[in-house]
Parts: sequence; structure tokens; C-alpha cells
Amino acid sequence: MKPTFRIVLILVVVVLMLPIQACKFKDIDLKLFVIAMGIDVSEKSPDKLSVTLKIAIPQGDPKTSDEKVEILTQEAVSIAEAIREAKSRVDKEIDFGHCKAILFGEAYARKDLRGGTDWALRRRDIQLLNFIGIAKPSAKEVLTVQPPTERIPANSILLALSKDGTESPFIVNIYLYNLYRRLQEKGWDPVLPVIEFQTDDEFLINKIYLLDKKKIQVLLTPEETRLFNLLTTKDLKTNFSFRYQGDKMDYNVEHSKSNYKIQSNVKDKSSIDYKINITAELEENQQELPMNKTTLEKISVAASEEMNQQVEALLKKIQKSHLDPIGWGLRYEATHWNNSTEMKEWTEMYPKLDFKVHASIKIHYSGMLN
Amino acid sequence: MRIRQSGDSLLQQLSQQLSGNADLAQKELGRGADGVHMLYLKSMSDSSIVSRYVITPFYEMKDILAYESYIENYPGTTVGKDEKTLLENVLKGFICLEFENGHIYLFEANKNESSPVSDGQTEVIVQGPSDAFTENLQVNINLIRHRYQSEHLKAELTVVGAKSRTRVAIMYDDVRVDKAILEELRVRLEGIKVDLIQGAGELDKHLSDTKHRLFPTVVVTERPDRAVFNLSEGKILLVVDTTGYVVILPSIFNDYLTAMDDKLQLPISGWFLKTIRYFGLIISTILPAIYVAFTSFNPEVWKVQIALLVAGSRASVPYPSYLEVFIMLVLMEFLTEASLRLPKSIGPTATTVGGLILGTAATEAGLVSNIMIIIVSAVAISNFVIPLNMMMYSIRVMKYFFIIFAAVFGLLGIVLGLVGVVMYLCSLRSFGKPYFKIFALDQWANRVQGGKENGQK
Amino acid sequence: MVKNKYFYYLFLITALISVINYVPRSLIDRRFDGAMMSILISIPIGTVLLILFTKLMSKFPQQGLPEILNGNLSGFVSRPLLVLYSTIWFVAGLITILAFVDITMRYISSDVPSYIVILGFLLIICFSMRMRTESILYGLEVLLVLNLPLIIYYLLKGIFNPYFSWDAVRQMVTYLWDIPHYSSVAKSTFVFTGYINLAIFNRVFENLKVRHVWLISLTALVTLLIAFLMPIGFSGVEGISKHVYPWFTTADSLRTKAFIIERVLFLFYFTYLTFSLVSAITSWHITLELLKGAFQSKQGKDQGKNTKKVVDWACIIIFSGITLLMDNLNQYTMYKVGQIFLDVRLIGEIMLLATIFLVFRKLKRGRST
Repeated sequence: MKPTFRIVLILVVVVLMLPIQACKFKDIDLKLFVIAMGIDVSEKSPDKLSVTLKIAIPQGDPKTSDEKVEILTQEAVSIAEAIREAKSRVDKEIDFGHCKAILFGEAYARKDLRGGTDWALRRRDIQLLNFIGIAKPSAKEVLTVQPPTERIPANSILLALSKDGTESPFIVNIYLYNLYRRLQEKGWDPVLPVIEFQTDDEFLINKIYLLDKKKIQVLLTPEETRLFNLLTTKDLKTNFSFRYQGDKMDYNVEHSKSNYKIQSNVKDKSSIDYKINITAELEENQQELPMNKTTLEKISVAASEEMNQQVEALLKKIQKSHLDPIGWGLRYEATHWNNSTEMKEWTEMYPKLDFKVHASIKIHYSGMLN
Repeated sequence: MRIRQSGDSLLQQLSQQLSGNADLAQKELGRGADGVHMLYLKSMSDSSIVSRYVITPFYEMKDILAYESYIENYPGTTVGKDEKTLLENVLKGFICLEFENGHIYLFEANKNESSPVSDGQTEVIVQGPSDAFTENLQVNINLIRHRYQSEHLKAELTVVGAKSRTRVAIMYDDVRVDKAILEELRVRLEGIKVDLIQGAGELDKHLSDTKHRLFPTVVVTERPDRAVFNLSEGKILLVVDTTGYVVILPSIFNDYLTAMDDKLQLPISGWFLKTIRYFGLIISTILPAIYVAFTSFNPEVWKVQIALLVAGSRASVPYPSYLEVFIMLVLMEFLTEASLRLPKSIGPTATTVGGLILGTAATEAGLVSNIMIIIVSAVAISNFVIPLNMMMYSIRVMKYFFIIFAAVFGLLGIVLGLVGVVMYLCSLRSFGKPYFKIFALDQWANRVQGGKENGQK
Repeated sequence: MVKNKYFYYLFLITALISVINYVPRSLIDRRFDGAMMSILISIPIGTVLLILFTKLMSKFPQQGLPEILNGNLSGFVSRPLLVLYSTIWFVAGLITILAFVDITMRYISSDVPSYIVILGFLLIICFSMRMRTESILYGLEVLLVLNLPLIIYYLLKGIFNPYFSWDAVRQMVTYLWDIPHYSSVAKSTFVFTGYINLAIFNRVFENLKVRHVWLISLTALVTLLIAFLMPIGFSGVEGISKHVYPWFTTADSLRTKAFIIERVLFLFYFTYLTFSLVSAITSWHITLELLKGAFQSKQGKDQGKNTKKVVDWACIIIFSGITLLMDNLNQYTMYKVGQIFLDVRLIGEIMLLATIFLVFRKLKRGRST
């Protein structure tokens, strides 16, 4: 048989499939896109969940910039059930393909957030690239926030969390897959950013929660969150303030790098040694102390010392919580070959660990003034 | 040379066969032993040649023998051997001269009505030669020989078509050509059993292995520079008389996306142009299909901004996406066809009315989405990027296959279609040579050999 | 006749398709149980098999398995053998198709019924598998070369991702000294299996010489390590076992701002869709050719052509039927079938090697006496 005949045959078969197919799909204008969703514990009964969906309504005319959004809240015993029930309240098919953020209400996360995570991972249409956050006081309230700069529903939360827009040093972004792997991993615990409701058109993201394998445990302050970010990310864009001879100064970080080593050779004297290297430039010098090479060196030393203390305090706080948000345990496992006993060693060792922080901050540039 | 037998001279047989033709001319020059019988077709022979070089010398020369030797040695004269050659040549415009001693000569006096060498119409080029092949075989061969002055260039003449008796010259570079392909071509030319050959493209249909293909497997060009360039790559040209086009074979897919501009530009701009063309090819084949798949099956693939935009602009459209695409594309095809066939003075009006007004009105009325208009015009424009006409038509047809696949399978269907098309292209052969290969190394080898011949490293 | 480079393409497509054919997942299931070691062991085993097989096949220039067996053994031996071996390739293609249909159903076309998706796959595969052997190689080349830049892009994107956990990878490496099982070795050697396609493709190689075997071994090692460790770097040493398709989970963890497509998952899906189609086409082409060899009559040519057509159509109908039937299996059974295939495959390959070697020895003895 000639190949052309084969092509004709294929086309005929495909065209015949068209009628079977045509009634199956729903065109894009018959779908409602959920951009973000939130999961809360119901206020009325503690056994129920309250699921909030933030749905974008497409605009016919792209020139008009006012966004239309629908917020749907449904209470049910499970997330799946809530969504089924929400479906009967709208005219079009709810589509999660563009869902970009899942927020857990604080009360829900305090109980157990594994259910929500499991649901999100099991659904085939929910991306692993969803941003996860803890909403305070509740997911519903945070999702109703409409900043005036927003053109696509919920875009402002996404821009803030993804660091595509603002690059705040107080934000930690955690994708769904990252949350899940930390929930599963031995020796690495999850953290989640906190999104707080401020007013109807403003929210605030500057704290993080440390979690164990089930729920949220410890809240870090904004200051601690920034230091946490400094320890976990490279080239954090931020500034730090310090005091030098009673003068309050601020430096802007150009490059930052931190790494650590777990010293466990000597028994009972094991420690985690942190090295933080920062090159920075002076940004604020409130009492106009004149700058030269030696003063720059001196203030660098002062800044380093202050950094040492702050970081050590943070690490101590983390240690006290018995959590491992940075993954020291995993590092310990990764560097030891006795796979069957290493985890036990680590859990015994961790509470007794000592922290040595060595920050070397180099303020090498005094800004546009001397 | 044949001695005339009394009663049934060849000339008489010929005149019987041609009787009933109004343009048949039979003349007797002189009388008796000095006489000459003349037979020709007035429409095919040039009357000034007849009077100046045949009739006038007869009366100026007193001696019949001198006249015979003049005719015999005149360039282009052949000796008439049998009835068949006589008939063929008279039909071509030769004058048949029969002397009383029985010698028959064919005097070349054919009149060629052909357009003069003019600028190319179908393959326009910016810088570079603008002359195109004409309907005259001799002129065409002349155009080629001018550009390829090599002793290796050979031109063989054959005739195709039982009724049209179209002369076809096979031209090739003796050294670089693949002898197997040449042999194959000769066999296939012999095997053509048709009445008429009116266009070079028609020859392509009869030459290739499978008649119903989606893609052309020989290049048909009107540009002598393209023909000569391919000649230097070891390809074979078929110069078809009366068509104004030349067939190049074997060809590969890449040839259809090569414009002669690429060779004239600086290498980087040349590559850029070629990349652009491949890009245009891809866009014009799959863009409508992508729209269908995206709106009907997989809205989650693209960014949310695009999804909302498309959803918003489709809100008022009353039918499924594939119908929307079909309607708009078919309208666009009408528009292209109409502006092609219309007289040049009306063409632009049709385009404006059809394209601009119809498009705007359709979106305003909410019958098609804004995005759809953008896609249709993008498809139309990118389709014209393809330099060779035959491929352009193939691509125009192809996109509908993709739309059907996308309407049934979604994005999956587009990839299925792409793999299918690649596989199909790979299964094609142009005179036994693979048609579609990503690295056209064979062609490269030829070029390297050419470099060696010219003393390059 | 084609150039030697096509041999490398045959190798590469199989190495790349191993991601679909359950190789990483089986290794991940045994990650605390000698998977790392089996990767290392598989390299010499695979290399030796590859060298032996190509050397043997080059003794039969321009001959496929059917010619070698039919020409040198009696029909009663050669025909059942050909049918037997053809099933290996058939199952290989079948698993690739079914696994990919499952993936398609999960990630791309959940609205479309699965039998339609399968029909779509079958249309293209059955259309293409009957093409000439060279044509299939050309198609393979085009699709591989077009997709390779994308593969490199994914790898770079993954490895330089700030969320890629090198600690998890290092933790996995510390399990290097565990004793491997046969099955995980068998699964690791799958990356080499491309060479076995020579059983038919040897027909079109003029004078096959495989140079740079070390390059093949290195590619295989790197492929295996990436296929095994990259998902672990993204989903964690513990978490990875929870995911059904580790590689698609990994691709879904990547985000790009460079394209209008934001999720790398879709790009990855398209790349692997073309790969699995091409791989299924090559596998089934070989099955078809082997079966043609098995049912070829040794009579006149015209009759031979007719039987070929009958075999073609019978194969298309039978293959499609089996594929549609197998669609009813659930994911666990599917996975199980894939596992068994990967285990049996290695033995099958060694058997094939032994068969050809025996034929070769018989031929040699026949010549010397």
C-alpha cells in the first residue's frame, strides 16, 4: 500500500474520532481558573474544613485594567468534598491548572497540615510549583486582600512569594515539592512563610514558621527570618544595621555566602561551625563619622561581631526547638557512611551541639560619601 | 538519402498525411531536372527565412548542383531519411526540400514564438540576477551555459509527450553527477506515457515514485542561477521546452527553503534568513493547531496571563475553537486565492476589503476572538516566507492536518502529528536519495569536491 | 546504506528512554539496597555485551537476524527462535507506549479517554513502523538531534537550581557499598540495550565499526547517575519513593521564566513523547521484521511480497489489539510487568548473543572443513 493512502487512512480515522471527542472537552471560556486557594479550619465546627478559592474572571477587553475576581468559600469535611460542593455553586468548570499558591490557615496548620499537602500532591492537575504559605489569621481573610497594584487576581501574593517582583529579604519561598520532601526527609524539617492580613488592600510577609513533620511549631521574628535567609541563600539582597562606638550604621550586602561544617570527631565536643562571608557597602551613617580605610576596617570588625552574636542566638533558638530547618541532620548523614547508625548518633548529638559562628563582613566601599 | 521511386515519393506521402491543414505550403521551384519540390508549414516556419535563404538563392544560382550543395551545407540542415523524421521535423517548422535526383533535405527555418528573457515573477530576489527562463529551449540552454562554462556540462535531448512532442534537455555536470540517478532518470523519462506536457511541474508528477505525495520531491524553478547552483552540486536539470521552467533533481527538503539570496548575503545573514524561514514554516503549520489545543484541551500549559486573555476574548464566540479556526483559515485561503487571480489593479482592494474590514468586523461582532485574527494573519504571512511555490502549497495544506489532530487529541495530537510528519518526510525518496535528513552531508561532500577542483583547500 | 553514527543514535535513544521504562523507579525502590553499586557493576557488563554483540554482527555484514538464522539453521529451529526474540522487542515497545499513555493521562489529557490516546499513539507507530529501515534511522536522527539541546537545557536547569539538594545526593552516595541484587543490575544494564537493535538494523550498516566505546560507557554511566540521582536531589531521599513517576515529578519541580511555557514539565513531556514514539517505532519495526523473517516463504518473490503484506496487517491488528487490552491493567500491575520485562530482558539478550555466536561457530567450522 502506498504511503499516501496510509495518510488518508489516518486522517479518516482521526476525523471519525472527532465526534466522539468534540463533546468531551470544554473550551477555555467555559472554565474558571483558580489562581490561589486557602484551607482553614471551619469556625463553626472544628471537624470541618473551610476551603477558599480565589477565581479569576477573564476580561473581554484587555485594555480595561480592572480585575474581576470571585472568592468562593465552602465548608465540608474534606477538601475534595468542599471542591465538589463549590462546583455546584458556579456556572463553569473549576480548573486548578493555574493554581499557583496554597495557603494554610494558621489554625489549620497548627493542627496538622499533612492532609492538605497530600491532597495537593495527589491531584494530577495541581502543580508541584505551588507556593505554600501560612495565612494569618486565616486563609480566607488573606485571600480577600486586593492590592491596588494588582492586575491579575492573587498575582501580588505570587509575585512576592516568587521573588519575581519584590525581592524582600524577609520572604522565604517554599514550593509544594519542597515542603513535601522536607516533611518526608530524615534530618530536614520544613519552614513556611507567614502571610499576614493587614488591611483590605495590604498584606505582610516577613516571618517564617518552623515546622516539625506534622504542624507548625516555632515562629521566627522578621529579624531572625532575615538571618535565616542569610544562612540558606547565596547573595541575599538586604541590609543589616549595627552599632559602632554608639553610632548607628547600616550596610548593604553585595555578596553573601555562608557555609557550615559539622565537627563530630571529638565525642561530646561536636559543633557546627558556620562561616559567613559578606562583602558590603556602607549605606547609612547616622552621625556622619568620617570614613577612611582604617575606619572601614574597624566598622567591618564591629559589624562582624554583632553578626556573630545575632546568628548564634538564632541557631541556639533553633536548637532549643529540636527542629532542623536547615538540614544539618541530612548533611551529617551525607558525610557519614555508617548508614544504619548515623541517624541515631545525630539525634543524640544534636541537643548537645555547640555553635561556632565566624562572620567576616567586609565593608569595602563607603558609598558616594567619604 | 533515398532514391525517389516513381509514384510514391516521400514528399507526396507527407503531403497526403498533412492534407487538410490550411497552413500547409507546397511549392515547386523551377522545372524539370532543375526543379525542387518544397513542403512546409507556414505557421511553423519563418517566412523571411524561406524567402531569403531558400527561394532567392535558387533563382540567383543558375546551377542546380551548386544550389544543392548550398542547401546541404547550410547550418542546421539535415538529410531526410524516412517518413517519420520528415514528419516530425516538418511539424517542428523545418522545410522539406526534394531535389529531382531524389535527395531530400530538411532546412531549418523554424519560427519560435516565445517571450523574450524577462524578469522572474515567481521567485523574486533582492540582489542578484533577475532574468528568468523563457519558453524557448535554446534560450534556456544558452542561459545555463553562460553561467556554467565547463566542458563537463552535458546536454542530452529527448522528447516527451506523444502529442505535444515536448523537447526536454537533460543537463548535468559529467564529473559530479551521480551516474545511477542519471540512468534512473533516463529510464523513467522513457516510461512516461502521456499526451501532453505543458508545465515543468507536470513532469515531476510523472517522474517520481508515488503520485500522491504531500511534498514535492523535485524543485521546479524559473531562476537560472538556482539551476546552475544545483548543477554545480551534482544535480540534474531537466530543461523543458515551452514551459519556462526547469526541473532540478534529486532534491532534498532543505532546497525548498533555500532562496538564492542566502548565497549572496554574508554567511551570518544567510544563516539568519534560513533560520527565519524554518521558523516561519513551523509557525504556519502548527500555530492554528496550538490555538485549538490550548483553548480546548490544555489551558494550563501557558502562563495564566495568556489563558485569561484568550478566555476573555473568546467569551462571546458561539462555537468550539476548531470551527473558529477553520472558518477563519478558509476565509484567509479565499483571500489569498482571490488576490492571486485578480487583475493586478484590483488585487490590493480585495485584500484591504477582505483582510482589514472583514477581520475587524468579525471581532467586533464577537464571531471570532481577537487572538484568532492575530494567529490567522501570522500564519498567512509566515507562509509566504517559503521561497518555492510548490512547498508553499504543501505547507498550506499541512496545517489543516494539524488542526484535525489538535481537535481530537489536544497538544498530544500536535506532537503526534509532528513525529508523523518527520517520519513521513524521512520515508520519502527523491530518485532514490533520502529526502529529509538533518545533516545534508552528501551535498556537503559534493561542495568539498568542488572546492578541491578549484584548487581550494 | 548508512553511516556508523546511526549506531550511536540507536544507543542514545534507548539510554534516554530508560527514564520512561521504569528504570529510575526500580532503582529508587532499591535505593537502600544496592542500587548505587548495581549502576557501577552494570557499566562493565553492558560494555562487554555491547562489544561482543557488535563484533559478532560485523561478521555478518548487511544481514539481519532473520537472514543469519534462516540462512544457517533449519526452519524448525530458526522460525520459533525468531518469534521468541520478536516478543522481547514487542514487549519493550508495548511498555513504552503504555507507560507513556499513563503519563499522558495524568499530565496532559485527562479529559480524553485513554483508548483514544492509545489509538493516537498506535496510528503514528503503526504507520511508521512499516517504513524502510533506513528511513526509521533518519527519522530517529532528526528527532534526537532536535531534542538534545532541550535535554541539555533541562539538565543544566536542574543541576544549577538553588533548591537542588546536594546533601540528599551525597546521602545516597553513602549507600554505595551495599550488595546489589540481580534485578537492579538487570535494570541498570537497560541503558546499554540500544546495541541489540542491530539485530535488524545491521542490514543497513555498510561496514559497522564502533569506535569510542569508552564514550558509550561514559554516556551510559552519566545517564544512569543522572536518571537515578536527579529526582532524589529534588524530592529527597525519603520523599522520592512516594512519587509514581519520579522524573516527571522532577520536571514539574522546575520553573522557567524564559518561555511562554512556565512549567518545564510540559517541555519535558513533549521531548519524551517524541522519544517514546520513536523508541516504540524502532522496537516494533524490529518485531515486524523478525516476524516477517519467521513467516517468510522460500518461494517466488511475488508470493513473498504478498505474505509480507499479510504479516504487516496481521501484526498491526494483533499489536493494536494487545495494546488496547493491556490498557485495562492498573498502575501496579503495569509496573510489575515492566519490572519483569527488565529482568527477563538481560537473559534474553545474552541468549540472543549466544545464538548468534553458535551460528557463527557453525559457519566457521563449515568453512574450515
